[in-house]
Amino acid sequence: MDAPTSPAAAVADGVRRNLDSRHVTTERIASGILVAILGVGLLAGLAVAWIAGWPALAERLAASGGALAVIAGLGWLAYSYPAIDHRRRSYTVRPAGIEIRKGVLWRSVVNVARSRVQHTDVVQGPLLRRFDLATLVIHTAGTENASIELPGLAYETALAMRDFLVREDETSSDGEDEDERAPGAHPQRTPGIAPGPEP
Amino acid sequence: MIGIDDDRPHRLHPLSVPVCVGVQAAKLIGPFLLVVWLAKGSAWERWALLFVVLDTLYEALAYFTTRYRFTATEIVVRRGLIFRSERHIPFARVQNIDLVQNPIERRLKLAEVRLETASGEAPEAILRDLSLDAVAEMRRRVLGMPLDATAAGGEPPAGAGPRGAGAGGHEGRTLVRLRTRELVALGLAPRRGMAIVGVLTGAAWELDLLDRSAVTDRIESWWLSFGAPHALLLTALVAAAAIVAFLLVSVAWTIVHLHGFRLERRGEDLHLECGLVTRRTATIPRRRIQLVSVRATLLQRWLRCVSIRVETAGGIGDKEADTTSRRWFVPWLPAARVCEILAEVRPDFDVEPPAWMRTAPQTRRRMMRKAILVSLLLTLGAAAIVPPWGLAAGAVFLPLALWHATVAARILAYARTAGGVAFRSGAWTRAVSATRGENVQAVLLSESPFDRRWAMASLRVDTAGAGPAGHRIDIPYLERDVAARLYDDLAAEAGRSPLPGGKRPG
Repeated sequence: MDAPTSPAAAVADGVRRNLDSRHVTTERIASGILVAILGVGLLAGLAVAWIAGWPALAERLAASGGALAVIAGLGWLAYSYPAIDHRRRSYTVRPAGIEIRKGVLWRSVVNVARSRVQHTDVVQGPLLRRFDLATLVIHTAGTENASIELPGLAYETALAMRDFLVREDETSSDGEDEDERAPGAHPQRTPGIAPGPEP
Repeated sequence: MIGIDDDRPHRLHPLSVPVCVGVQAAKLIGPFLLVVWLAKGSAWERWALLFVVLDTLYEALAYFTTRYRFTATEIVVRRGLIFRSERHIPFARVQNIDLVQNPIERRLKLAEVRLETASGEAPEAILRDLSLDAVAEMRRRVLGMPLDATAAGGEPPAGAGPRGAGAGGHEGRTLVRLRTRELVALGLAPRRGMAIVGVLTGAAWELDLLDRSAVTDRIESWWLSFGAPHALLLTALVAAAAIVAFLLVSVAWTIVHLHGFRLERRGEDLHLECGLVTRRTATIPRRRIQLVSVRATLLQRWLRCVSIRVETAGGIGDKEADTTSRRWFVPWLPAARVCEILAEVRPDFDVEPPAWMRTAPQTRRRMMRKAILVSLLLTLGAAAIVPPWGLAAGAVFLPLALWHATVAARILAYARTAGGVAFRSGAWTRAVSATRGENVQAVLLSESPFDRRWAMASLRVDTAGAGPAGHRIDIPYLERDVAARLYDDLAAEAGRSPLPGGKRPG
């Protein structure tokens, strides 16, 4: 395969890369927020119990201890798990396609040939926007893996990868990239609903 | 052949208005009488009825609001009175054209037309009703085009020529025809047998949980009045009667749905029709098939028969009607004819590869261990619910589970065929599925914590429209390095076979 010339193709270097390290931070913040909400709920419940003075003191103490332990445990998990998860996630872009690895206990690696990519989304929530990160969503005509997410990419990288994955380019054999698209499906074209002209 | 844009908009058939109203009215007459006659209907129910009637009228209005026209490459369906929508469906994207005809429509030579594309669940367009002449015209235009490689992958190499020859004509070669005898056998298939077991268990469960009432008490005392042996006999008789009734219903259902089943090959298309009351017709372009699955239930294996299912992209609605062509591709076929039929359907999908590869050598041990664990848990559960007898259930369940694990491990196999992959599994119902590299959408290798303990991995191949066939290429218990090699191999195969046959240079 000839070395690709265009800048977008530079992403297809076949090197296995980790996600952006800022991804750990955003994951910690996101899960931290969840734990905080849960914690506030639990603490509010405890506060009510203590104010009302019900149930018995021993039970109140036990419940408080349990709740605090749960909050502490979840907090620790919210802090440490994103780093563990980060170590297990990687992606490799090759001229022929993309490969995504993930999973701590249940590990998986999925490979999508570039010719099977129907379209891609680059998604950014408010948190990711602040950190200049994005999630790349790759859609295929498949069923179970019809959309495959790759989170924690630098926004620029995500855009470059998107351009590379959906570009109709010279690496294919006869340049008619359309022909390479997956079986009969062109979601971006098929259900074209437009106001029609009068007959 | 093509080239002249026929922009003239077509309408639905005028008779579709009375037919539509009639069909809806027939459906509604029961509830209507219930509400009006019994005069019990609350205001809410009457309003609901009004909405239903309005909905009927709205559907009947489809005749006035729907137009379709053909351009050189697409069919354009326009509908709507206030909110207009215009849908452009390129011919090359049409996966299949299904027809549904109820008896009235058959008499009037009309049909409801469903155009299916690869996108999503529902048919892309439903036109009800068109005259059969209009349908023939649509078929000719939509499916009778010369080969357009922009569509689905996988032109069968054997017939890589243009689809034109014979595709437009109606001379089809009948491949499979089902007689009533075969339909009866199909209705009795153990696939439904499992459903019967389910129903009986459910019924037993219900009876156990039934609140004690005057009625149940009376039945019980009546039951016991026969004395223990007779009561037992009576129970057995009732159970047998229930099974027979269920089987009869199943057979009747099968006959009503599949009466007059016929699969034909017309040029590069497969044509399928069946149905006693509501007649369904489907046309499936051969090259749109993504996966072929051959399966045999226990009864089918005794009778040396199989069923074949295919998956085309799109139209994975959960409604029976939407998947007729796929769910019932060939429901009943003598095993000896499989090769002959598949040679007509897709010769390049190899479901009988020369050599099957077994999964890891420890597969059987692992499945046995799982079986023991599961039956142990079930036995404990049963023993907890019904103290002494639950343990006996375990004595029945354990050997069964072990037998199942042994057979399943023996059957489990895969094969790397020329340009594709095949997978075999199942102890009761055996299934073999095959697909080709150009239909592979994604390849997934995964390892659960249990897999890691055994140094195993499982490999899954995702294709478009997976689901209706009920069997997919999902190979568990592979040795880790074997799985990794197969994964690389299939990923490379998917990456290098992007072009449908005809267009690739060389």
